[in-house]
Amino acid sequence: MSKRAELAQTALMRFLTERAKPVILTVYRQRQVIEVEGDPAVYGFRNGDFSAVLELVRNLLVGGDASRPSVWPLVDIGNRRHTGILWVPDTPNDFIIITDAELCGEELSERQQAANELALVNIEKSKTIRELKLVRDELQAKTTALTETHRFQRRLVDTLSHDLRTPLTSISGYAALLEPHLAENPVTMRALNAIQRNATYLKTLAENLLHLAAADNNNAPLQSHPFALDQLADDIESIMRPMADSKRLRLSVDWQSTAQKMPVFDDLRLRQILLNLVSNAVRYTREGRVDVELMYDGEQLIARVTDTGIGIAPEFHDSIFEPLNRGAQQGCEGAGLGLSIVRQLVEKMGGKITFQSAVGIGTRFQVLVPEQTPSENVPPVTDRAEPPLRIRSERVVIVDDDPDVAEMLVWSLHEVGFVPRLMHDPDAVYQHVAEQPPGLMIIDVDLGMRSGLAVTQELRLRGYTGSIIVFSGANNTNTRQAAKAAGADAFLAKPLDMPKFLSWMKRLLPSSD
Amino acid sequence: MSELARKICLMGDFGVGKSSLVARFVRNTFSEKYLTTVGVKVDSKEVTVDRRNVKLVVWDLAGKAELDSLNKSYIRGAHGLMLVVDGTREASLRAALYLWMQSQKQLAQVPVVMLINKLDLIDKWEVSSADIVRLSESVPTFRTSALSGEGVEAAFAALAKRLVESV
Repeated sequence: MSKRAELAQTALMRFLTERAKPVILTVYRQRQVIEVEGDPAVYGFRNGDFSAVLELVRNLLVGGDASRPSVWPLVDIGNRRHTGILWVPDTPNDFIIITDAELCGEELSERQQAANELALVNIEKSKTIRELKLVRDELQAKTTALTETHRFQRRLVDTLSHDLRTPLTSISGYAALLEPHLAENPVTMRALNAIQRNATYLKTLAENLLHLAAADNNNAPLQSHPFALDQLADDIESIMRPMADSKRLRLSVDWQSTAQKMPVFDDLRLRQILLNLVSNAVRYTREGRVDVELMYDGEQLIARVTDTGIGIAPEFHDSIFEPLNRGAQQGCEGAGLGLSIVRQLVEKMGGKITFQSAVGIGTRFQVLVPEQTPSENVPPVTDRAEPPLRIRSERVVIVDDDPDVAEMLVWSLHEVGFVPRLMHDPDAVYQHVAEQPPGLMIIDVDLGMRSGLAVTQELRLRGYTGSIIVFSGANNTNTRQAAKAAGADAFLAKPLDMPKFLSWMKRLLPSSD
Repeated sequence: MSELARKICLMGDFGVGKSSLVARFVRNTFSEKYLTTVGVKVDSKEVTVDRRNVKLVVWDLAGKAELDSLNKSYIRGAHGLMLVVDGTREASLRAALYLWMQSQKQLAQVPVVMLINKLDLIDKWEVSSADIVRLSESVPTFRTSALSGEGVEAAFAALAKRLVESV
């Protein structure tokens, strides 16, 4: 070997020795260390105690051939310190060579730890995403099912409440017609009063159900416009009077305005609020009185409904405005919808409802609603304002396919002096109107296969210039606007308030001019 | 001194709990912290099988989904294999079966047991009961939890018994 080669070999050995930090143990029968070369402290072997490494090597040799050299790279000797271990059998002694693999082990360990942790995180992430997708799909399915159920329920309630209105018109109307004929018989009058009372309750219930069913109720803007406070008071009294009279309750509806202008509110909703409160007051008062006060000062309307009824127990004070709450009624029947709707409507108007109550003494509800801003495009046709009708003859044609309501209208109008004629077939109506135009036509919007609005429109297109009143169970802005667009002069909502309707019709008779 | 010493190797994908199983079996400890194994860590524990003392030399191999050259060198001379699966990761079962298949080229027919680990996370398991039933038909299969220790002793004891029987 040349001198340069020897120098190179020496340098290489020094380098390897520095990097590998070899410790060479001369051992006897795998159990006793006879000689040590290198620094065993590097690997944690101190005070000549090599029992751990001897045990490790004996373990490593299990399954192997101790008579042949073996090498085990990257062995963790504890505390995550990595070494390379060589077994060199010889006679009479064997050799164990321990080299440092820490550099390699540490780097590999860090890389592997990071990679494995990342992989585990990714696995968990994938699982979470899969689970979230499942949850999302389930939620979507449930939402779809709920939406369908909700839509079905709304349609059901809408149909039910709508269909209630037509028979209620018959019941209330016939009851009003019968009243003068039965006034002398106390037994039948009591029965008639019961019918009227329950019909009034059903009317309120139908309105409440329809309110709940209308999907756009919570979002629909208020339809505020100036209206006559006295007329609202009259409406409330005329609707609730039969119910109060039948229970021998004294009902007073008073109003007071200190302003020089008409109040501006959504009068349909205001009426719904008051009807619910007064209806409740009458129903839950066995004797005494129900007083309604309406006060307007130009900035706000205060409505008070005070009764001498059964009162509301303190434990129900927090829950009476919850929907379907029936606990406060103390055994009286009721759907428990009214007050929740009242609160909803009051809050929608930016108002506040409060109450005071004592069991056995009575209850007072107070509603305070601030003046509303007039809405744009409010349909001017309502069933409360007297429409600008001019009737040139007392002949009236009624177009309605519901025999009970139709017969009741015929009977009622005949009673007050009109000459009514009932017709069902639109084509026959057109022909009759062309030949003998009546002074007034009363047309039901819901004519089964044909819309009463289409009939109204056709009559106008054919040149009929008399007055047309349409009536419908669908008491909403759209129907009212559609009625006006079709050519109706007035819109009446079912169930008709027959006494009010008839007194109004009487004033329209040509002979009364 | 033990009458018999047997080398067993724990194989399986990374993170399935091999080192935790060894810690539970040898030292009866458990750590929540995940530390990857680099190379190999060798431990031993004496067990008694049919009144015979057996020293189990447990080689805890770095977790891999397939047998690399380093692990091939480590399993040389093994008397038994312990395949470890993470019950919450169905992919780790496929990895264990693949490792078993690869190891068969290297080893003669040695006793094998399969451990489906992380029984404490049973509500997150992807490995189905049907899979376990099918596995059990070809290899002794144990459901284990290094965290609680459930099934761990039984799995090692079963392998030890088969090692003794195969002597």
